[in-house]
Amino acid sequence: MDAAGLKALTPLLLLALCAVGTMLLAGFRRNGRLAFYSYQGGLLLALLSLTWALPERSLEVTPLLRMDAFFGYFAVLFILSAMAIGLMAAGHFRRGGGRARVEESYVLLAICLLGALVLAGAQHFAALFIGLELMSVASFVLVAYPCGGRPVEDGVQGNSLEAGLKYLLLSSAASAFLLFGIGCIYLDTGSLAFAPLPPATTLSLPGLALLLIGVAFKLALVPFHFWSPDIYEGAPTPVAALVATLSKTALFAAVLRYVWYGALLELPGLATAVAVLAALSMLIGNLLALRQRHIKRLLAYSSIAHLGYLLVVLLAVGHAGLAIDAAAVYVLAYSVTTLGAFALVGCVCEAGAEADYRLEVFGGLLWRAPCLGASLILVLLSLAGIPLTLGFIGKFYIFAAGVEAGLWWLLGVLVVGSAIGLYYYLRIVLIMLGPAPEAGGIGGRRWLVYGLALLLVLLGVYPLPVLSWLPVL
Amino acid sequence: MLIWLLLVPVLAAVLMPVAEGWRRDGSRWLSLVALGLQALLLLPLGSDGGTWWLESRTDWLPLLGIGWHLGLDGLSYLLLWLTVALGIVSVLISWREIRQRVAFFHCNLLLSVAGIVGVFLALDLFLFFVFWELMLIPMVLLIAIWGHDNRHYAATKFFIFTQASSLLMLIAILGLAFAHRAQTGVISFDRDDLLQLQLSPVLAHWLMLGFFVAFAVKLPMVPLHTWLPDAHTEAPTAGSVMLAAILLKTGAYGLLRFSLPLFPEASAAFAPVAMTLGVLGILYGAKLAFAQHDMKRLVAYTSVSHMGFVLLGIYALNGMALQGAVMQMLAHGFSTAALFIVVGMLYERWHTRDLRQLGGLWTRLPRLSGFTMLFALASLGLPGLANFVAEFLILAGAFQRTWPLTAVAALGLVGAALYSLLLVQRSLWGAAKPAAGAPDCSRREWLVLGALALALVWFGLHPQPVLELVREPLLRVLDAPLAHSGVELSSSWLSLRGRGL
Repeated sequence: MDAAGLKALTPLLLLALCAVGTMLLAGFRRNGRLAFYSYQGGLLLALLSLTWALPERSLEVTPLLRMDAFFGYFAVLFILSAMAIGLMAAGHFRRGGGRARVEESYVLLAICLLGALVLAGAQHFAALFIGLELMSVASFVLVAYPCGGRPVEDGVQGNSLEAGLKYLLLSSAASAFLLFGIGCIYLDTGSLAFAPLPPATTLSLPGLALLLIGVAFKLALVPFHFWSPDIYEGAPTPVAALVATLSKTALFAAVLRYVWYGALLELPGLATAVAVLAALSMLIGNLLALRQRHIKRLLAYSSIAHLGYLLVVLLAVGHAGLAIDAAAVYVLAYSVTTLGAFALVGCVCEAGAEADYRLEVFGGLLWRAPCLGASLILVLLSLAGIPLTLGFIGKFYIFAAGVEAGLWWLLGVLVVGSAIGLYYYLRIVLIMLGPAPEAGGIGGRRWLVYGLALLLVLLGVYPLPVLSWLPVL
Repeated sequence: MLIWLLLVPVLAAVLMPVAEGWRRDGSRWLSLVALGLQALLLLPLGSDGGTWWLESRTDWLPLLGIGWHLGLDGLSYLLLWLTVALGIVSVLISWREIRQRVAFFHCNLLLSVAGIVGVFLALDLFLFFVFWELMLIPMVLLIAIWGHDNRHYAATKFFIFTQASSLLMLIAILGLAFAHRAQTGVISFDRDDLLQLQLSPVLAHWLMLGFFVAFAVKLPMVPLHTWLPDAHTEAPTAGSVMLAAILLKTGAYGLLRFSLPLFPEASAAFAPVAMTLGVLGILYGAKLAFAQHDMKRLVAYTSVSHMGFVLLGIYALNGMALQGAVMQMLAHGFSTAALFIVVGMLYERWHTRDLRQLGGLWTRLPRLSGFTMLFALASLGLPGLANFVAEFLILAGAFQRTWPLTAVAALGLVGAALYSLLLVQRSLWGAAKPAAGAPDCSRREWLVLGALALALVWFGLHPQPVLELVREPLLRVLDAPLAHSGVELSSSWLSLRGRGL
């Protein structure tokens, strides 16, 4: 690796340093606030270093990573998401009374982010796997992270331990599928780089199928989605936000690059399989969300549906010039909106002594806390894809990519799925307009919610700054 | 200038809490001032001979060929007046009815008005779609917060129907934009650009259907009408008025402004189906209206019937019928809004809308009953009132197209007579039901109902200004196929002018 490569790697190195530094700091002095500042400072440095370190033209840094505009766009998005998650975590842990040992969580978050950045730059299966495992292993721990600092028999912690164990087992199984698939492809092609498959292949197609299963597990696509609501429910809210945004979007970015480099959709069977996964996720995700009374489970199912929408873009790759743009915009919209939703959950549901995630907790929110209520309406409208929110721009791009690629029947499913989705998003709005629950308080980091809601509207009304900066692969 | 038409209600909506803090009725007065300002802005406008009276164009998302393109012509002008007038009416009739969260109510009302104004002005399809969706959100909130018992169900149904159908329109819009890119190399959402497209018949057919479904849901057309009775019944009176009088018109406007000019051949080929559905709506709406006990539901179904006439008129595709359709939009706006207001007033006094529990109102409330009678007669199409002119023109125009369908549609007039007279008979006549001291019309109510009655009579006796106003835009709608296929469609138009209508 030469100096240029090293320069391009600076953000990743800084992040690794941040993780190590925060850990050492926690070793010497256990202070949650200190760890928080160290974490946010490290991320900020990494973000700033991107402006300087990102090469002008696409640069291959070792066979594993490629630093280009695509990496830059997603890196910025991921770092900002991680910073928001860090803010949510700080608020969440402070509510536990401050007795909990929370310093390590920032270390784990930094490692997660590092994995995400590796995925954003991956052009090789080894990088894909390293990034994915960095992220997954850190998330297992985070999902089960002792929150609230209460004894082990505490119900909250029991839930999160259960969720962590589930995540560990299922995710490991998925990783095994992934590895097996990669092995098959390697056996056939003799290369681990993201590249088109040779024409006469025997093992590559089964390999791809296994790979697809592994990815579908991690992205929680129907019918591999069963873990996701349980994990969302059990994990501490900021970690649920992490699982919903960073883990999914980073893997999606890597898969997007592979599909593009490998021209995978030329293979006949694969496109059909992905289309079926997309259609099932859109329909079943939305249908299962209909009857949910638990906000985190509802968000889990809604995010299954959203990943289904994203798969439509994946199918358009290679057929539509807009596909990569659409993916980038939608990932941005999805991340901002989902983070906003989880931040709101943190504010509203966890205000009392006992966290209460029933939808009724949102009752009368618009009258109790007008700004927060308005933010929630915006977030929900964005999830539903109504104009003047970022969610609409994302959905518009997905429709555009789908129309350009001529995926008519999938677009039909998308319309049906969105129509079903409207029902439960609107139901939360209606609950919010109704009477207030007896014991309902508001707490936590409101300004994070306001910031995200403002971002949703600003970029929804005038998305040009983002659109003119979209990556070209 | 056009921007101000949009900005005034938005600014007023933002200032609502301030006005509320200033004095108790502040938000009501502010709404009136904002709508009055809009009327003042509209007043001096007039045609200068070009296609658009006023046009403005600004870049929005140049990457995608999306611009902030607004334009005003006679058709938009007429509908903007309708919007402003009924906006003012909505504020006035809510003066007593809405007592909770008054500022927020008027905020939503004005935002809805802003969205509708945007729909009537937008000439960029992306922009149109944005306004098309935006006008719904405040309306859904109006129904969901200030509606009657079953309001959540109605709001959800309304929201899902309209949003899902508009997604189909979004697909069609994108299809057009990409077709434009395929032909010219540049992507564009501008109506002027898209009018130049040469589409293959199959593609044009499917894209036309995308638009048609979105507009037909809003219109509403049988069998996509089922949201309407619920939404109208559960909404507060002002919400019903806005829905019936203005929101439904956006569907017809969309057909006239976008669907017909963009897909002339496909629309002409589709016309028999659309006309049949229109006639079906006329009869079905009338039949269901006849069977209702709930007054508000009855009026809601009359909307289905009346808007069936609009659909029939639009797809008859000749000058007379199109004029009639526009006239019907106007007349239905006034007469149905008035009927909803009357029902709201009765409900305020009797706390029931059930026709079985009402009766003998004439002896108790002579003034209000007189108005009810007048509006019911307007609804059945009594000569001398605006609805008659409209329905006559539509039937006369459609007759030149297909006489059997027109004959069936004319049966709808019998149905209209049935339900209107039933409404009158069951509520106004018969034995008086006991009721606590219910005052007759207050001065404010008198003003509102009187103005609406005056409008109906005025346009019924002297429809010429309206017809003149929309002549140019409608001619252009009919000329669109001429430009494409050279078929002489506007001959009936000339004969119409010859007769001096």
